[in-house]
Order: sequence, then C-alpha cells, then structure tokens
Amino acid sequence: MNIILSNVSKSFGKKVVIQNFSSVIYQHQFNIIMGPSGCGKTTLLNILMGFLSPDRGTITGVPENKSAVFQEDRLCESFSAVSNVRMVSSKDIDTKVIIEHFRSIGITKNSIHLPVSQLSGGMRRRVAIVRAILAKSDILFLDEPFKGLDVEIKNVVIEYIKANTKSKTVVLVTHDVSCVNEFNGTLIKMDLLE
Amino acid sequence: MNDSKIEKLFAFIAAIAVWQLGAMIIGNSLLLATPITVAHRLAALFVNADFWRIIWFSITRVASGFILALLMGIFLAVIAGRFHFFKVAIFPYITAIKSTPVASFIVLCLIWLGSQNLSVFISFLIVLPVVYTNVLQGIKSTNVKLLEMADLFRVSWWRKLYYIYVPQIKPYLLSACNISIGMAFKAGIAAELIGIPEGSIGEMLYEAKVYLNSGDLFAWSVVIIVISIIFEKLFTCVLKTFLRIEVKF
Repeated sequence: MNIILSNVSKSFGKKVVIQNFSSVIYQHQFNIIMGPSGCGKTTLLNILMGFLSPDRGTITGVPENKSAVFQEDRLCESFSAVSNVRMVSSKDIDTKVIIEHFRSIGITKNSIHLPVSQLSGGMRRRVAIVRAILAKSDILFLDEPFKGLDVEIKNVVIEYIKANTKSKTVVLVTHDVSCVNEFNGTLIKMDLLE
Repeated sequence: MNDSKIEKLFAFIAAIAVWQLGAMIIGNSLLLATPITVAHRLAALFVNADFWRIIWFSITRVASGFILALLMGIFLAVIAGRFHFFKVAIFPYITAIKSTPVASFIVLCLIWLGSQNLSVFISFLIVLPVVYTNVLQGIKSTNVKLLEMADLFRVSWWRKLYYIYVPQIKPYLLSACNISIGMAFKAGIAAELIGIPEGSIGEMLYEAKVYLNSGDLFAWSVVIIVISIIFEKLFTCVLKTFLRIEVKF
C-alpha cells in the first residue's frame, strides 16, 4: 500500500514548518525527499516515523514495522557493533550473517567487537546503517545516511543499501542531488515556506 | 603499586603516626589508646573464637539490610520511573525516611521488632533512599533519543532494559552502593550499640564503654572500618561482574 500524505501541516509554537503538504510515498520503491535546509524534511520524517503528530492533514498507509537511520547514530555506546544489531534484529539472524554485512560495508572484523564508542564517526554511521537494514521492517527511513562519510566509503554504502533494499519501501532524506540518479528513486521535493 | 596507592599508603602511615603522637601527648590510655595497644587488643581478639561469631552476627544483619534495601530501592525506582503517580505517592515516605533521625527509627524498631534484627531494619532504612534516589536519577537521565529508536524498532522491554537502561543506571547504582555500604555499617552498628543484641559488635562497643576500655573500643572500631571496606570492595566487584554479563536474546 502506498503512503498518502494529504494537506499535512506542522508548527512548533508560532513557527510553521510544514504547510498543506501532500504527496505519495510509493510502496517497494526508493522515495527521495529533497529540499533546502529548514524546509521540514526531518520533521516530515519524524511524522512518518510516528514521533510527531501532524497538526492538520492525514497520513495513511504507514506500515507497522519500521526501521531507520537517524540523523544522529543513536547507538548503544557501551555495546559492540554486533550487539547493536542484535538489539533490533530477530533471534534467527546468525552472527556470521551480521559479520558478513559489516564486512560488505567495509567494517573489519577487528572493529565489530569493540564498544561502538571507540569507533570512528564513519564506522558508527555504517553500524547504524547495518542495524537498520538487518531489522525486520516493511519500510526503511534514511535521514542523511551519508553524513560524515568520505566519497569512497559513501560509494560502498550506496551499493550496500541498493543491494539490501530491493523491493523494500525506502524513504531517503538528503541534500545530495546525485542520490536521485544513484537510487533511481521517486523525487519528493519540499520548499521553504514564504 | 601505582602512585596513587603509594600516596594513600603514606597518608595512612602518617595518620597512625599522628595518632601515636596524640596518645603520647595526652598520656592517658583511657582517653586515647595508642596504636600499639589497639594492635595488641586486635591480636588477642583474632585468636578468640567468639570474635568471628560476633563479626558474622553483625555482618550478616547489616549486609541483609543493605541487600534488601538495594533490591527494594531498584524496584521502587523502576516503578517510579515508569509511573509518575507512583513517584509522587512514594515521595512523602522517601522524604520521611531520609530526614528522620536514625535514633528515632532505632527506638521505634526496638518497640516493633526487638533488638535481635534491629541492624537489618536500620541498615535497610539508611540505604533505601540513597539507592532509590540514585537509580531514579539514572532512569530519568536516560537518552530519550535511544528510547525513541528502540520504540521505532519495536524492541522488547527486556532488550530495552539490557541495552539502554542497565548501562545508563550502572554508574548511578555503583555510586549509590559506594556511598551507602559505609553508611549501612555505621548506622547498623550504632543501632546495635543502642539495642545491645547479644553477641553483636554493638554489644562489644557497649561493654568497652561500660568498662572504660578504650583499647577495645578502638580495636572494634578498626574491625568495623575493615569489614566495611572489604564488604564494599567485594560487593562492588560482584556487582560490576554481574552488570557485565552478556545476555543473548
């Protein structure tokens, strides 16, 4: 089922962030939300994820099982990369599978058993991505997933996401124009309110 | 031995030297026994079979009170962290326990329970508010964004407890234990001194007071300090090990 957003509005105090926004998020596709800073992309994502309620308008079709890469990594600092994935994944997923995912995204075996607080920013970002991919979900939200990654790693991550999100509904929020071509996704544009 | 331990050892030796000097200046063993007199009394106590029975009596009671308070404090803090109304409802009791003088509780407990288990109850009352307040503070300062993340991923309550709450509460709990173990021994033995249960350290202190035996008084005080430190180190070590156990979900 597609997600239908109809006349969604959201304000924080007197500041209107989203006003009468309507769009469709297509099932089993890559949906890319783009727009300038402050146009309400992350607020819209927070509404879709259920953290915020819209002041007005309706949203239908959001699946129950969600996973996400947040703007911040939101990792459990004292636990290893593997444990962070274990926290959200099904019991059935073998540790070898988790390790293989880390290997394919460029995280070495030496790093995956260290507390994530000891990993670099780029590695932590990738741990958050693997966690979101391996969680059982019908929709994946990615909020600026390439933040803090250098070009080489970013390309590895793009390939990893492409390979692991086939036939999944993905909502990607980014500033990066090249993502539209990379993921061959549907573009949802948001503008600053006047 | 690292620098900090060497410094502490020197400070300890210096304190004993000051004690010896003070005793020599006063020159009256009734007022201040010398470290040597205390060492002699300790040596005599060690070979006395009753000594270990007395220590066992007091330790088991103070430790029982401490452990009961630890479990109850954690339990109450978890409920209070989850349900605001419970936190409000329990506030008067915790405040009363915190503010009431220990002596009042000791007298009350003597009326209610008698003297035999007095130190269990008093240690419990002294430790409970410290553990409750610290653990609740830990729960309150849990990273909201991590909880949001866990809700989005539909993480079970047990996994949330293990991955988010336990690491968050751990330093608060360890700090509460460090503070309250010494307090439990101080208050528990003070309670024994008033209630005078038979075969307790408190009874020994009472006898030392009655017979003006300052050597025994100092020797038993040293024993209390040592068992309190050993218990604190052992318990903290066990707790840290327990909190490090890896759980496979």
